[in-house]
Amino acid sequence: MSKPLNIRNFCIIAHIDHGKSTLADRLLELTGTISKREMKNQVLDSLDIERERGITIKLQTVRMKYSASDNKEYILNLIDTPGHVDFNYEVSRSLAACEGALLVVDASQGVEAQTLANVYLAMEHNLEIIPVINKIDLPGAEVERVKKEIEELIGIDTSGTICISAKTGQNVAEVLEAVIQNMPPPKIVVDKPLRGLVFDSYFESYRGIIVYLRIVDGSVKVGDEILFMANNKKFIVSEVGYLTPKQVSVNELKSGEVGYLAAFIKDVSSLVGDTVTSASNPASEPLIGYRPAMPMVFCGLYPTDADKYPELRDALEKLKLNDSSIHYEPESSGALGFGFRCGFLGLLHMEVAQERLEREYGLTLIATAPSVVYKVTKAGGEVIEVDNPATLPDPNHREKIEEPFVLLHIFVPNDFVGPIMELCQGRRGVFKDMKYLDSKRVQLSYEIPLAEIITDFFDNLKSRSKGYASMDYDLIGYKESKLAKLDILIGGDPVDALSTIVHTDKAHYYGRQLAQKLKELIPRQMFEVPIQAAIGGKIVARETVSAIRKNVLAKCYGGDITRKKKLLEKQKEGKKRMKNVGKVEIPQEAFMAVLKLESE
Amino acid sequence: MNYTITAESIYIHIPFCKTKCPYCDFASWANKENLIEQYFDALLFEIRTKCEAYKSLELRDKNRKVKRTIKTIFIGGGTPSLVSPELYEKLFSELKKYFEINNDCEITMELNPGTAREDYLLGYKNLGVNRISIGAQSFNEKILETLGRKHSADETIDAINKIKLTGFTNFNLDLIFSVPGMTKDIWIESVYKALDFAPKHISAYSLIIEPGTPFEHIYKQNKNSKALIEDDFAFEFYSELCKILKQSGFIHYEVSNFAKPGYESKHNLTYWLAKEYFAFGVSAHRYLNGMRTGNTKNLEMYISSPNHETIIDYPINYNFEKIMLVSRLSNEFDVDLIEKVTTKNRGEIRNLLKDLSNEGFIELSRDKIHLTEKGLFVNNEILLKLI
Repeated sequence: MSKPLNIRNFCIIAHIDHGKSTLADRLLELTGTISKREMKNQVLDSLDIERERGITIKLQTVRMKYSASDNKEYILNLIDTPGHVDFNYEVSRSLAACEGALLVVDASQGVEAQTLANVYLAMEHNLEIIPVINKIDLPGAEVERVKKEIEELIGIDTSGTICISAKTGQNVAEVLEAVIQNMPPPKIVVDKPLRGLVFDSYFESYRGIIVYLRIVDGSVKVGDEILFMANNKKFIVSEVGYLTPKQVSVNELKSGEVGYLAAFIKDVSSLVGDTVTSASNPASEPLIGYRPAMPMVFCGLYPTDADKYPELRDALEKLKLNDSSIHYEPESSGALGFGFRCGFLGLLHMEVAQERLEREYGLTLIATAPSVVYKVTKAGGEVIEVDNPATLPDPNHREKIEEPFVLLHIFVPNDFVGPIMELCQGRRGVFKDMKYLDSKRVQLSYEIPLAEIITDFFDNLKSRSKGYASMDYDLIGYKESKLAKLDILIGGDPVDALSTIVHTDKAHYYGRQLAQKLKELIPRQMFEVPIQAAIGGKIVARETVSAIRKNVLAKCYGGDITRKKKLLEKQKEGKKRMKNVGKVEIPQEAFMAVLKLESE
Repeated sequence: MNYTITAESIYIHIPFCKTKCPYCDFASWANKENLIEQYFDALLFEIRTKCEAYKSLELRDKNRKVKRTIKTIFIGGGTPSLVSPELYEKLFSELKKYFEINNDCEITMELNPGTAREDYLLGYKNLGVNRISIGAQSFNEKILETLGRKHSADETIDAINKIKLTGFTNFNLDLIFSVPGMTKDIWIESVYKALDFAPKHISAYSLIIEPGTPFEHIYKQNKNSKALIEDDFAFEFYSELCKILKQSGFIHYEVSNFAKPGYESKHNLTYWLAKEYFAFGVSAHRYLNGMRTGNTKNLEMYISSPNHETIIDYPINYNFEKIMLVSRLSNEFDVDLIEKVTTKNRGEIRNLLKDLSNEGFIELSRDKIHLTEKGLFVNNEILLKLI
């Protein structure tokens, strides 16, 4: 055994807005990892979307050096985690690379539903959990109440709780000390063949796929030949290093360390969760990977410009390296041409993936309304899975449709229980349980079809609770429902990409609503555009977008010419975001119109 | 670099007004008449130095020996009719040093009712001005008041009579529709009233709320947009106008312009045919040697350095501009032009044109198209399909 390294690998679990990224910023500052000069807010949120939306999507890793009060030097690897329920898969990956977790809870908000889900994940991985109560500088801080909540809800000892303000920096140093004293160091195993767990990857054109990994056994250095055990592919290591969060190359990564590896890896579709070992001296058993992510929400993604299909395919391939929870397979639509049916963990995940495809790969996309996977029993008794409403067999060719149900948990202040129950019942939810978490907060549980909560449910939940409610859900299985397909005809022709599957009791209502919404979203054109909603071939609603009668710039003389030209070029750009379906130009948002309907 | 001038038109900007209309976003100022003389000094200086430069550039390449013949001159504003013929005499003699200006040159001057002086008008006529454009806008007192015009309908009539007495036969009347408070009847009445004076040309614009004008503040920022007239209703005004003028023997030759046969504005056609032109004066834009340049919009700055110009657009996407401009005319243009500005292939263009023709927006022959009246109304939409 060589001299043990003083290493701690840990992550931060927190609900959105409870201050995880701010705390991470403070830790980076305190350890001198990032100088004040380089410091910008939310250093670890590297995607543009993350900074803009103030959320963490991708996990980020950073190595910090810290001289503790025991005068020893430690290496701390912080693996940042996303807080939103959609990104649980990313969380579970980072947890597998850690020995401990900081549980950050807002001193006035208390424990939220999603935090709970992530803490349970951490407990499954046997992580040491240190509670941290943040934002104690705020006037509404109730440290004792939140402590009690942590004890009662999560069942962990809160005597070691650290109360901090990440914003002002108060008590943040104590967090680092607690990490060193209370979290176990990684088990160092040097006398066994290399085993490293890949927890993230991304593609670079010159170095190939860059792999982020945690070395469990042995070590890896430049020039080694490595083997990815699940993929059964071999490569020669060209670079290893750690992250500050910038990549810093070193000669060797050893047992217990977290870092990156490059080996000119190309043409490997899925590395995350795989085990790296030595090609000449392979380990006998791979490490335990992750639960494969289960896509719950599906939608069609199509390039607005049909010629861009190959670009979209390449972009999806590359994005999947960085976000392995995305599923995709080719499909085609009469209205939209060639595209992909894509599976996501949730609605936010879907939005984020679409946005990343557009920004990082310069594409303009049409996304169809999200759908769940239905199990349809056909007339002959054969059961098929339907994730695209357009492919639902006709009523006389099917016996029944089953849809996925979830057990939904909502944490909400008791003032808002009424409106939230109303919301759940309006969405076909069946009440299961109501628990008082403390004197002010309630946990509601409903059995509810997944399809009902992947649309605008979360937005509604937030608006009905003034932003206080949080939710989490688990899939509980499939149940038969009375469902029908709602078709939309534009200019007399059915547009397959606008079809949705809805509950029969609401089908007429949704038909009317959808037709009205489309009328608002489809801009007036040079001719009249009729919009019809149909159920099983029967028209249930009709709206008309009237023709533009006048659209011309009155004056166009000397100085106006350049202005008018610029305006025209801008309008032309806008048109590129529209899809021509027949003669009708339909904007991107129209394909998501079903998400924007007011519920009954 | 090869320097080639093809321009045969000149624009002159006169930025002075008695009062500033609240919808106007042109470079024009009230109560600055004390600067008129200085302004003309600057204007003459600009003409002299720029023309010397043009001359030397042309000589270098083409050894041009004779003066360039000018076919149209447009003196716009502002209110050019505020300025005395003596100053214009200086202007013309400066221009004639560099350009050949014959009797068949179309020379237009803009005039605002309330500023018409018989002595001035006679002076302009003697200098060669042969076309007057009158900013009548409306013959309804209420509408004139809403527009913030400081003249009455009677003053407009008086101005028209004066120019006729002076001997001008070729004149244009500017009219505005879609004015808040305007009914269809008020509009039609103004159109017929205009026709009573037998103008050779009518320009009719819908009111546009321009950014930075007092009207923007009144109608957009105060959320008082209810008072504004919707585009659908503006269509009604426009379509009435087209009907009446057609019946009275006018040709609808450009989106907003109507003329008796042979009286189309030759000057404005140079713009709409994407031809090059000279321009002088504050805020003036020119198009020469494939480049669009513009002067400062600041009057005092112009007076102190009249030669300063900035590039507005270069290199120019000529075909894009050309289709944008010629599609404003009722005259036909080549289908080839579409191929030059779009990524669509020949077959796709044909299908598109067939659709547009079936819907009555264009008329299509073998290799030429022209917009119908229905098409001119939605010129912008058609353009967006063609480019």
